[in-house]
Amino acid sequence: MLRSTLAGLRGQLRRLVATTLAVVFGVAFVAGTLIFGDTARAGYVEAFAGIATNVDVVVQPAGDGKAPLTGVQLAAVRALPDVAAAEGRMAAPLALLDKRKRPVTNFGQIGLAVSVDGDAGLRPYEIAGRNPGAGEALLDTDTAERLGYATGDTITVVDSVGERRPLVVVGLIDFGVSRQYAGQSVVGLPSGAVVSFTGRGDFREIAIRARDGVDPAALTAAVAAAVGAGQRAITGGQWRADLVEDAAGWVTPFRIFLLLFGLVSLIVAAFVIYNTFAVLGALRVRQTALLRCVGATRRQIFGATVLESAIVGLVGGALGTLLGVGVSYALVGLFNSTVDAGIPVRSPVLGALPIVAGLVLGSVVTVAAALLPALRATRTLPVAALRDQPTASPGARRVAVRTGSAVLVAGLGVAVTVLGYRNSDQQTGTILIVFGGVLTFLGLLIASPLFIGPLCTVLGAVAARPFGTPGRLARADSRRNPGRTAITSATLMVGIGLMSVFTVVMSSVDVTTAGVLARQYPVDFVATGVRYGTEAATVPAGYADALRGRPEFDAVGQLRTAAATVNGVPVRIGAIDAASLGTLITPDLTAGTLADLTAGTAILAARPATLGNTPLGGTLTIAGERSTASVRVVAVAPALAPAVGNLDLLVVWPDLVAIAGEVDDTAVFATTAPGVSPNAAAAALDALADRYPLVSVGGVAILRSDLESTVDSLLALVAGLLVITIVISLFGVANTLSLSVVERTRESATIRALGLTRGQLRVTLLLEALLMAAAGALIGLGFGLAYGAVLVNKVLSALDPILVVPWAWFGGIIALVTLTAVLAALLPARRAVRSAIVAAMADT
Amino acid sequence: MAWDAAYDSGRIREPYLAAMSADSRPLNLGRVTQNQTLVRDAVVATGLAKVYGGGETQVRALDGVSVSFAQGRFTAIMGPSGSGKSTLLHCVAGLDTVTSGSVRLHHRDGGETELTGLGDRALTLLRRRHFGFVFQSFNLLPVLTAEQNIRLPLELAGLRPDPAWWRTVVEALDLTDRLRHTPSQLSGGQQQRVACARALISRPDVIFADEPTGNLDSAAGAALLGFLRRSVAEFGQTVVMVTHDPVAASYADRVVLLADGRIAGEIDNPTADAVLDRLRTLGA
Repeated sequence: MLRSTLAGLRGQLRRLVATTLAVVFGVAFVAGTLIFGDTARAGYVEAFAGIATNVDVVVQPAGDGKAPLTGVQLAAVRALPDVAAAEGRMAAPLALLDKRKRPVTNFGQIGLAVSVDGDAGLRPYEIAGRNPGAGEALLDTDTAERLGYATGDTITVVDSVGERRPLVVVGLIDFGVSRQYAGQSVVGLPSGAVVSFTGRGDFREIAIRARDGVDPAALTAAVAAAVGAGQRAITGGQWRADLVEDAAGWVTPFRIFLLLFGLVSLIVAAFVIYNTFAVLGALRVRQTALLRCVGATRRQIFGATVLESAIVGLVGGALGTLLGVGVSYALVGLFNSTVDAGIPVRSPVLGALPIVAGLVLGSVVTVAAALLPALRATRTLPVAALRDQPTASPGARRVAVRTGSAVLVAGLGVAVTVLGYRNSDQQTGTILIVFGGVLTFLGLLIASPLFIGPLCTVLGAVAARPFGTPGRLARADSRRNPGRTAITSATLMVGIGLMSVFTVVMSSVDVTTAGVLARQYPVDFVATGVRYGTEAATVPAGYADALRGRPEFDAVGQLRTAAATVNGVPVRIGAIDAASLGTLITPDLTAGTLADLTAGTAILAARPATLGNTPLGGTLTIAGERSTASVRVVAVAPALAPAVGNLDLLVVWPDLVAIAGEVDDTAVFATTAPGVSPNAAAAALDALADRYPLVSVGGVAILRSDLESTVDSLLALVAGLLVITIVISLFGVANTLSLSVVERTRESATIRALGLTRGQLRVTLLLEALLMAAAGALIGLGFGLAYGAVLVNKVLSALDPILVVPWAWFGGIIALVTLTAVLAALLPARRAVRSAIVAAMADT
Repeated sequence: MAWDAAYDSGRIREPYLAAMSADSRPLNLGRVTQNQTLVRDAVVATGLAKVYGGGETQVRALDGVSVSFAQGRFTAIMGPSGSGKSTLLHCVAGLDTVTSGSVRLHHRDGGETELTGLGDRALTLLRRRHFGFVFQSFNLLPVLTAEQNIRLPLELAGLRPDPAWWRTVVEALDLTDRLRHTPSQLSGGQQQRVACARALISRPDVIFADEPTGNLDSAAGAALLGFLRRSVAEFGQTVVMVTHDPVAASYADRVVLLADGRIAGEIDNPTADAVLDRLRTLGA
């Protein structure tokens, strides 16, 4: 039996190629994920292994309060007898200007200054260049690269009193893969310069080198006692392990996420495998019956199919593991490009686990998928060898069983979904909905052979009409074997279903959150000066006019504020330009109306309650820089300039000028013109930055643009991961088609004899592939839309969710499916049209 | 029977009926005429050669065959296994290419087409419009109903069947009640009748039948041959049939004998016995 199985395998090699490829890709994803995890972790460990090897003990601020480490504590540590050296490491905010003289910010935050002097062996980073002296600085490599600075250039920092300080870059700091200061600009300075520029002298960390022969653990205890409670002393080993964990910690949870995708691709592969063996079984009825005739037992027939599948599984598993090495590279690339993960690139670490997992998964999944077809093969009667190929149609009992189990599973899924939707706890509810979704999808899969035929007919009626006879043939062929068509479509259904759920949820999150932002901020952009300490920085008066000159913005408003006193109490008074008051910026009033604000009147802020006890209609005397004036309170607002600054009184523009004189703007507001994308508007602002340094732009459009990029990159990541399931589906469709082509050799020859041209035969197969793919895509998209909507409503229930149908993504998915179908039909069609009519007709 | 009506109305042509011995077949069609000289040729093959392989394994399936098949006549091709009779049919029907020689189709409307040298597409279109086929194993498309199967050749050409002709064919073949059935719901005899209707519906210049009774029991086979006979006699259809059965061959007007890829003689107005005798001399 072994010999005949092997002979059969050799004979069927071509027919098994697509199946093996499906196994290869399914396994490759799982193995690749495991290899990727090992490789990434190894990369991080290596990156930190050689860093600051002299550090034996580290003291860090403990707890959420992060009480800073003081010079006293450093002195206490230094006084310990076993301490050879101790360095206090400073890190404090310091604004750096880019080449356009605009402050470098990261999510609204300015960068840092760190102290870089002291013992080189205690540093957790490397310096390329020399240590800075007075008037010199180091710059971190990422920032240098981003801003285009190199050693020898002069950079400008703005110190805590607003003074610009030019510094010569004498070297670069390489933090490697450490994510400690990720995204922030870091300027390395002598500790004296850090203190004088930032005005702060505390330490973020104390690194300690022990005297030779001193046990670090014992020293740690001594140091802990010396610095006192509230600080955390750890050994250097622990510290380095923390750094690795800090950088690589995301890999482990992400690996689980990736393995879920791997599971999905294995399931899709299992469908393909099942289909292949089912079709092969049908093709081999005669051969199997012949074997039964000459004395093969049912057990032997069963064993032969299982053996065949085991060989395919092992070969596929081995090749898949090999391909997994490539997949691990691709994953590193995907993560580094879509979400900027910064994973160190190194040669792959191929441990035992991925190899064992690949081989075991490959063979187990393949054998399991082939079991049912193998069982079916044992039911072949010996007389079938003498009969023409039987065309089996499913019995009524099997239809009933299928319908029953599908209704049961889907019903359960819907019930769990409803339960989850009604659950008051959002997290539990979401998990229940996901679980219910999986069950419902399973029910759909079970039922799909029942409805895929009619669905193909309906789709075919619409789509195949222009193609005449090939269209009608494809339509008829696609429902010839609903089970096979259903499973082929199911492979696409899984990938597309997942993809559409993701796109619906992510796009809805994007739009809903943007809506929330729009309500919180009345405008798209808010330009302010860079803030240092308590001093309010201003925006030059010309900035607002410059914005008004750009077509990207359709409304620009100015807020000016000035310091004044009311009865000796210091207050901030402000004014909004007349054109914008009530249109662009509308204070929420609790009493009075905005129209009452005229010359000689003011709106009072309830918060801060500096002047809170002034009644409506009361008069206040404001003493300003230029003059003193009396104003009558006509309205009260809870907050006059939310998110910009605290204002006590809002007066009209000319009154402010009269009281405080001509001042610069505190904030400039702008709304984007209709049809201008957030990114285009941001670009317009960048263009202005050249002329107006020290203006920081924030606001909803910037947030929106950040959000958009985040959503886009996440979607790109998920889509990239799901494409592999689509690739497996491609093999599935190609496989089903090419086996069908073999099965229908005689039929195709007949119809060619009757007058179907080669081109028409090709079109027939192409249309059949498209029909199968379209059915799968339609169900997948429909499912994604339905469950995406349910999930969106649950996850965003607090935010008044807006459901978004991501037509662009859906269009992309449909294009991808079409491409898949066309590619899948190419080879089978080639084979079908190549065979000579006469030879094909003789082939039974 | 509609057929009788068609006959009475004079629409059915009668000049080419051949003499035959009525005792060997179930249907007596009557109206026998000896007149054969008016016949034009439908297909003329000249010097056909078909060589498979090369070198020592070279096989000459056809070795200089020249033969013509008359319009409105029923011709049987006979010969021992491996004599090349199926190859000859495939070559004249444009299903297979020839190594050398010429195959010329004379259309009923007077035109002429040389088949050799035509590309695949041209041959396909030619088959679609001018040839009908009946195969040994019926070769119906299992996904289509009987009606859809019968319409297929016309549909491929983008045509609709003439309703009167459709009725005539369907009723003559007794398929009226079977049109909505799929092939798997039909008996072998019924399937072959559907195949026959499919061949006839486009009124092709020639119907090629390759062992059409090979998979039928004797009663169904006789009925089918009777119908082919009638289609020649009364619709003026041209039929070329390959068979190894002398009884089947006796339904034909003329038998062409083939041996070792060459013409080995022919019999006009054959009887089963006459064919059997000749086959014996060929060493079959």
